[in-house]
Amino acid sequence: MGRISNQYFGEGQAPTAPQLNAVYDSVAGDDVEDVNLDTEWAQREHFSSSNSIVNLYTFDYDGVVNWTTTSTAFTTIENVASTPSKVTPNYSSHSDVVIRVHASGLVAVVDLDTDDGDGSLAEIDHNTYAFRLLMSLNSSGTPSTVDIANCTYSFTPKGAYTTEATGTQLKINYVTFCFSGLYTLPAGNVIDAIELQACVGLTNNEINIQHNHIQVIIVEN
Amino acid sequence: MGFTKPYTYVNDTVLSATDHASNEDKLRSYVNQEIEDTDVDTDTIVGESIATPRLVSSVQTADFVSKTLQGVSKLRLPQEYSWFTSTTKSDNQISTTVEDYQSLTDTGSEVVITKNNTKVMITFYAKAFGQTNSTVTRSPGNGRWDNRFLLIYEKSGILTEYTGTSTYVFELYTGVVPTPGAPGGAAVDAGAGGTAGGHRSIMITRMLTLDAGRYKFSVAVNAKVEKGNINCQSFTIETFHV
Repeated sequence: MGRISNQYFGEGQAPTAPQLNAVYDSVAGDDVEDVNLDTEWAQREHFSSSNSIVNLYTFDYDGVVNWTTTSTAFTTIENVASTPSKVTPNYSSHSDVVIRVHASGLVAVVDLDTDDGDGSLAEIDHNTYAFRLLMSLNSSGTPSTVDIANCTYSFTPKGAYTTEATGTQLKINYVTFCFSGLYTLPAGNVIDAIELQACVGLTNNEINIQHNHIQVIIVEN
Repeated sequence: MGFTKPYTYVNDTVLSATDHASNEDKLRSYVNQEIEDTDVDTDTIVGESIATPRLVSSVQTADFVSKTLQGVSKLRLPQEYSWFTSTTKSDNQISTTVEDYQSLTDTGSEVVITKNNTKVMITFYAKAFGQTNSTVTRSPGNGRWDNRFLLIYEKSGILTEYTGTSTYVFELYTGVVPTPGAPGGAAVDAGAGGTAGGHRSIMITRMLTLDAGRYKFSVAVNAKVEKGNINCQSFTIETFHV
């Protein structure tokens, strides 16, 4: 930091304009940096209580009604008719946004059409089912979707890709699924919805989903 | 940004106290590098402006400006099992109606919420293992072998259970010999026991909106095995403030 000149006046002395201006002008020519000297000044009370940095959304289905799928196409879980597993932030991004998502739930009874396959790459789909969180965006009027997070599970204790070629029907029931993800989104987008979807790897294999949950945390400065 | 004095002194002009004070104030603010409206408007707040977290290790808490993070995370530590047991239920051990939820070690935290409608995010991950019962084994059937875990909290002496967080581990029963390739072969489920049923990863994620108060969160189990183990790898509660 630069030094600032000062003026000393005697009792009864009338200062001149140049004398008074000098102190301020010397500062004007100095090199004080345009940053705040104090660190850690911003406490919780300085942040707006009505315009949050963090926006949170959640969906919970807590019941025991099964939602069943035997399809290889991702479909949104819907244990209660007309109430899909979905959050609808309708959030407009003003700058870069970090989107954090979590999902969890319970896979109840599962079923295999035949067995879990021969463990080869070609038959991985015999022993897999999957989940994803699909984000719908409406940016500049052009709708798009993003697979923001996903995970895959196996029907049986045998690996989906393994040297164990003998098929089995030893299904694992009442399994918890849980996954999470992060995604960055630039300004000028609208996050319409994030929904939890599921599918099986092979048609006519079956999964039944009971309670399931979505948590979305959108952070923007 | 350079300094510009608000008022320029001029000879033979009467100096008002207001003009002089405006210069003094502006100079003080500038030299002391205080926060002004324009700083905020022009996005000049930098990272070090924001208070760093207070780390209170004794209660496993990190208090940031934006949120408070509490709980345990031991993902990189060796497995350290704690026990659950149903011996407290005596001969009701395998009852499908008698419930006795016991909080598990290291799977919880106390949270103090100061404002109504505060949102918290809870994540829980553990490895659980249900051992084979010594006397009464798998034969009783459905609903008697599921060790059910729930997220619960206690506030002012009242327990609240979130049944929608149910997750399970089953008695480890090795009597089932699956028939490879045979349709209709054994299933590893709540009713049938079975080898893989005894080992489970159990996970819970939950976002809650809480009113002001003191909440004691934990994961509890209604055990139906004499001996069980759980290794809580991570239990965190994030309280969002801004």
